Amino acid sequence: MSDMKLDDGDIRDLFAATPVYTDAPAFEARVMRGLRLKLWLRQGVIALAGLVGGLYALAQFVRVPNWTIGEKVLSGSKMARVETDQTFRAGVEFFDVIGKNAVNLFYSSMHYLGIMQTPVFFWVTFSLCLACLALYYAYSQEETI
Amino acid sequence: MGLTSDKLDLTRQSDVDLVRLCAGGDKSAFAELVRRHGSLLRTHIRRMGAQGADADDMAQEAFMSAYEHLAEFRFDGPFIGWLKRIASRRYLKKVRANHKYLLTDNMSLFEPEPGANEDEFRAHNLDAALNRLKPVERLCVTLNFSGDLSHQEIADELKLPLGTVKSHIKRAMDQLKTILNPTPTPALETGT
Repeated sequence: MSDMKLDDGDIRDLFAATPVYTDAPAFEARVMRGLRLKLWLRQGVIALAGLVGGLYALAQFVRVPNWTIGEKVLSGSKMARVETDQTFRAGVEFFDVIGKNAVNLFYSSMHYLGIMQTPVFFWVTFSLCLACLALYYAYSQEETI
Repeated sequence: MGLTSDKLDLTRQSDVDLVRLCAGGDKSAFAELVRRHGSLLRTHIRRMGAQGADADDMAQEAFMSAYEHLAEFRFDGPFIGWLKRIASRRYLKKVRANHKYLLTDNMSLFEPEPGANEDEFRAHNLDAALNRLKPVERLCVTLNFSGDLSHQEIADELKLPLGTVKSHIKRAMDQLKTILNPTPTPALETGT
């Protein structure tokens, strides 16, 4: 056997040679599955953020002065009750009860909506958003070579 | 008019074309890139020192990260080179976070077990030979030869002096050549 000596080029060739993995198709499927899951989760987070944002906007909207949808509903149902006959009154009262319950529910949720209208809530969410952006920027800078 | 994979045989497309298709939202083009470079990337990560499932996890993360940062690929080099750099950086980050004995000088940790078959290591088996090196030497030589990073880039990534990186690579190369060189078979004596 000849006394063959390896040089740097031979070592480089050895590094360039890639072994064949029997589970290569499974690995490809795993990567694509992970990618789809990540994209789906991201879309979920965006939808959730939209929901929270929408709720916040609603909280701001109901804070408008003289905005009293609850009273309008109640007075409307009372007028209807006076002006309708006895047979129709039962139905109106039924919807009236449902309406009152809905308004009560709405007012009870106003407590939470009220929290969302405070300056503290605004600054906390604003800071969180900024922190998320800063983290994303730092992370993306670190990834990039 | 944008290209779509419906009309293309993706296996015949270049990496550049596939990256452009991916940037246009074509996931099947990215699947082709994974199929094409998956084994190479997994091997690169293993050669840096990651083990089995851990290496595959990191390869997967590197692909997913590459997909998210495709817009940053500048087409100034091969796609696999960019991919390897992302994977290398992720591996180094993980090594630092886990405080593994990456930069130790204590060779007793890496001495072969008594009775290990020396002939096995003398085979032309790069991976077995890499296992004989100190982790930092293995990392430097892999980043240089497989990751195509320059000595200066490796020094920057590892936060080591340039001279130290060069000596690690030199020592690693010497050892690899020693380990991988076939043992000269003694000439058979013919009786007279």
